[in-house]
Amino acid sequence: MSFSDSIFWVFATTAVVPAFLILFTRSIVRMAFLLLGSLAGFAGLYLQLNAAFLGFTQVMVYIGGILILFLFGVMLTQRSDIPVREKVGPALAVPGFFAGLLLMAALLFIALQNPWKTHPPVPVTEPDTPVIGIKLLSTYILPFEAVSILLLAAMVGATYIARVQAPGAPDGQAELSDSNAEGRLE
Amino acid sequence: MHLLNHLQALLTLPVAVTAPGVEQFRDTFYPAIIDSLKYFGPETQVAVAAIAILLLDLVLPIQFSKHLAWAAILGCLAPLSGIGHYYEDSKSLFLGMLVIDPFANFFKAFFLLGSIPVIMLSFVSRKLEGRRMGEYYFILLSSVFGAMLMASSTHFLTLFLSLEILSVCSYILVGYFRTERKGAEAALKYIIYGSIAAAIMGYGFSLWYGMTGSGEISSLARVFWSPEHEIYTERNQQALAALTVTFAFLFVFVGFAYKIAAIPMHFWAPDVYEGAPTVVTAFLSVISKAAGFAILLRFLGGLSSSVSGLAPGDMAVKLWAGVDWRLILIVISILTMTLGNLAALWQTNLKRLMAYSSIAHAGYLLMGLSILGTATRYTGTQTIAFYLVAYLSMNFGAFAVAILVENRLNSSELEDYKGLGRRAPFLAGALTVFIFSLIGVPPTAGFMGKFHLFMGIIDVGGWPYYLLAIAAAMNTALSAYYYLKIARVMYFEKGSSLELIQSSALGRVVVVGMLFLTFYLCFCADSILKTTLNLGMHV
Repeated sequence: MSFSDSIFWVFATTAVVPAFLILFTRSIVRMAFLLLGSLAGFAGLYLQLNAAFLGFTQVMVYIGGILILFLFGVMLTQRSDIPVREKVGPALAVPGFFAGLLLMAALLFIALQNPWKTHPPVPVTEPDTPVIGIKLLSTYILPFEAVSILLLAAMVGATYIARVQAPGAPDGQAELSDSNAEGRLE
Repeated sequence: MHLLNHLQALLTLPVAVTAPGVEQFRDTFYPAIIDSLKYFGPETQVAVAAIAILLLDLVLPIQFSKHLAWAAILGCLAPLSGIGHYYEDSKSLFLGMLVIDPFANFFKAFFLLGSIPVIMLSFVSRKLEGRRMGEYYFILLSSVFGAMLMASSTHFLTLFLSLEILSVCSYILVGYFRTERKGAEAALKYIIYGSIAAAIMGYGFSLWYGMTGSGEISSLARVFWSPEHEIYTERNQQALAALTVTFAFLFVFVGFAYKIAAIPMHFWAPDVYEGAPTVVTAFLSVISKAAGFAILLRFLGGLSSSVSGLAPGDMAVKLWAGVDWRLILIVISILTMTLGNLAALWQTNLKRLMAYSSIAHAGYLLMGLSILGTATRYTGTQTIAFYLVAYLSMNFGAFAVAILVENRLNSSELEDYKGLGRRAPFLAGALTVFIFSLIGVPPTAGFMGKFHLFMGIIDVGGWPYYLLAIAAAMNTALSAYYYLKIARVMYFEKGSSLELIQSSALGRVVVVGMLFLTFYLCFCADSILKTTLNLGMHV
């Protein structure tokens, strides 16, 4: 095994094992930390694939931004312990297990046996950021712009749903609207 | 410093620069994007209208907030002129990300016009009264924007993105009454199912991308449609290639099946339809489903015989183990309609009943997909487009009545529809017409829609299609039972109250409009069918 191969396995393990462990974790905080490991592993894989910009974006945006926000969200929201019921009996679990196993086998077979179309590695001599910038504003300009509508809609929706509601105010009414602003101040 | 230089170079385009890619950008990409923008007008207008509504709501006093509906209607009407202007154009936009062709234009007009009754019904819906409506109409128009992109996307990136725009907006709309337990549960279920379906679809695309090295739907479809494709001929292991294509097809299909609520991705529908605000249920059952069918048609029918070089009726590539992909669709179609109808038999809530009914109708519509690429008098695209218009008229009609009744009775339980024939003769009569249309009784739109779907599959012939026709006929009979149950409850069972149910004028306008459309589509089916015949796709 060459050096870069062993590096690959380190990153791949970091990416996959925590993701797998999430399935068996109950605590949401632990899940978040496991997610951190998984995301970091993927960042490493990007770096190894010479995608430096993508790798660092992954670290900054996902690990630095989203995950930390997520943790804050978990810590700051009221915790009402929702009991997780698992009512999957053997009648469903056993066929489900074997179906899943079969599917995994088929997918592994496909993934390992196919001669995938691959690009030869591109030697990187200078930062690829300008190339990414040009691509984003040319070939991918439409997805780049459309995603802003998606994010705006998601943001508006999130603020709408998470908006603090004045006690007693009917759902969805603007709490600080002119009509009842005074009532709230009392 | 390096990055800054490039940034400066991009900002001052006409000045000669030497950075790699910048020249290509200036000479090729830039003009192409500018040219694409003029065809992108309708989508831009919808997006601008959506954001304008959001901003306008900030300055409007709350009692005027509901009148944003008119702005939203304007936002749906204005883009129609652009669509009409470029209706016949057929070209690739934004460097292969999007396309403009009669097919896309038809569906864009369908989504825009179909959203108008939804907006009107939102206006009259009592449950939405007294709220700030800025966010609501913003998200509604954003989802229309997503649906319009779906109809015209030709790259899996845009496809995935537009599907997500529509989905994310739908999640929010479903949970719009955020303090209602049922609504919150429905929204959560919808999100979980939606994300899983999206993930599976993404996996399917990755398989496809790995095989062809291209994300454009046409190149994916080419693999699917032509047995001569290099991935079959270049490889020694043809069975492996066929197996991979099968998995890729099924995985991608899951993403679309979730949008149209076909088996096996139908589980979310009953809970979501019941828990969502009734207006949103109407939106999901028609616009969202139509968007799903638009993208399915684009995906499967993108390469019609004229493009792939196959003669009409020529069998496309067999999937793994020699299975024809149409056979898979036939099986899914039969299962979907049967399960939808069987489960509907026991429903006591009108919205839940309509959810199962909409699953069943997805099954009928899949009949049209299964005849794609065959030589029939009525093409698959034509019959599906026609059926969707018919479905719009009867489903919006039924939901309009449901909303007007809900406004007074605050319930959509069938129990409360007892005696509606006396309490609201007009609404009950209209609902009966829509019910007959949903069953497929002449002279209604539903009859014409089903008739042409049946004609299509009988034209193809062969035992799988005859089996499908028999199953569909039996299902139609089965569905008559639970649809007529609604009519029986309204007319033959005595309710506890005899008080007349008043309905708002605008609500009546919607009902009358849908009634008109229901009959119009039956008597003037030919003119619509002529329109839907020529829904060419750009390749």
